[in-house]
Amino acid sequence: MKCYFRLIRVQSTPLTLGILAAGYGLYHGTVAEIEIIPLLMVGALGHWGFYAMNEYEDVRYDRKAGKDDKPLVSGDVSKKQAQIIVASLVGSSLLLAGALFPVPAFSAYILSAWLGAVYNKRSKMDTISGVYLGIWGVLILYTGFYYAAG
Amino acid sequence: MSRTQIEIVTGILFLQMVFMTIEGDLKDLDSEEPCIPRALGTRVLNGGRKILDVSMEFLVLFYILSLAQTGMIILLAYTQSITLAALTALPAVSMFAVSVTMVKDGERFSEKRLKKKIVLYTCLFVTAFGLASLSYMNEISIAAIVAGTLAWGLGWQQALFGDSSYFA
Repeated sequence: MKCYFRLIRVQSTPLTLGILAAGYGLYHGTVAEIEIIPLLMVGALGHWGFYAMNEYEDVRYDRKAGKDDKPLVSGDVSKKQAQIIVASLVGSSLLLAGALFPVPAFSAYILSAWLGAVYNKRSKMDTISGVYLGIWGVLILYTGFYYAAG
Repeated sequence: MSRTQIEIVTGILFLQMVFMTIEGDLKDLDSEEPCIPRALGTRVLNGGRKILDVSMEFLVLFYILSLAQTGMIILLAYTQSITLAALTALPAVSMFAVSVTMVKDGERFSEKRLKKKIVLYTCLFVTAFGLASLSYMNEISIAAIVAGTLAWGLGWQQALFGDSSYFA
């Protein structure tokens, strides 16, 4: 079970949730509201899905660097399993966002999802890949902001 | 929140995310050969690698970047508002928590002791401010949530991937 938690990097979930909460709080001035829960649920699913995608895309670099503790490198998780996990998590986060978010928030989230996929594909090839992630962070911030705005 | 305040938060967050990718690149330099030659972190460090050894570079740059992030938050608190600073601190503190738990090389400090201290102080902070937030301002509630996120992130990391005896 631990290998799946490592695949989705569950320990880094507070990163995305923190940015979403910051965007929400920018509009409302507080994050201690029950309405924030659906936003955080979508954020968690998306975070796990895109981090699993990052592991999948980076496996050949991780193998070369000798990172045997990574679940795809060690074989604890197969490539097929990883594909299913990525598709399930990313798909469910997008569907949930489509159902629960107002249009501006959903638009920002879709753009962030696209940029997240671009980053995962290009991070080891493009020197400016950090900029992709920077813009992703901004889009996630605005997802929270527009969600709060309603 | 004014438009200027939102723009400031957006700009700081953008920089924080770029810093985080550089920190990630630096961590990969622990391996013998940099496997990401085109990475920004690799390019930045190539000039200094001949002078400093990799581990030292990693630690120094890691802490400089983390301090830079912290400095921006403090600056925001003094120039704008404590609420805005606390909101900006949410992703920064989460990132710092993730970065700290990603440090593998314990040569220069006892990583285990550092983690325990961070979690202990954070739990005390959460308890104190969590109680205060029941009666007082939103800023305190946000600070408690920030600290709670940090404690949760570190504790989760430790429980799943670290020494299980930590909680004994």
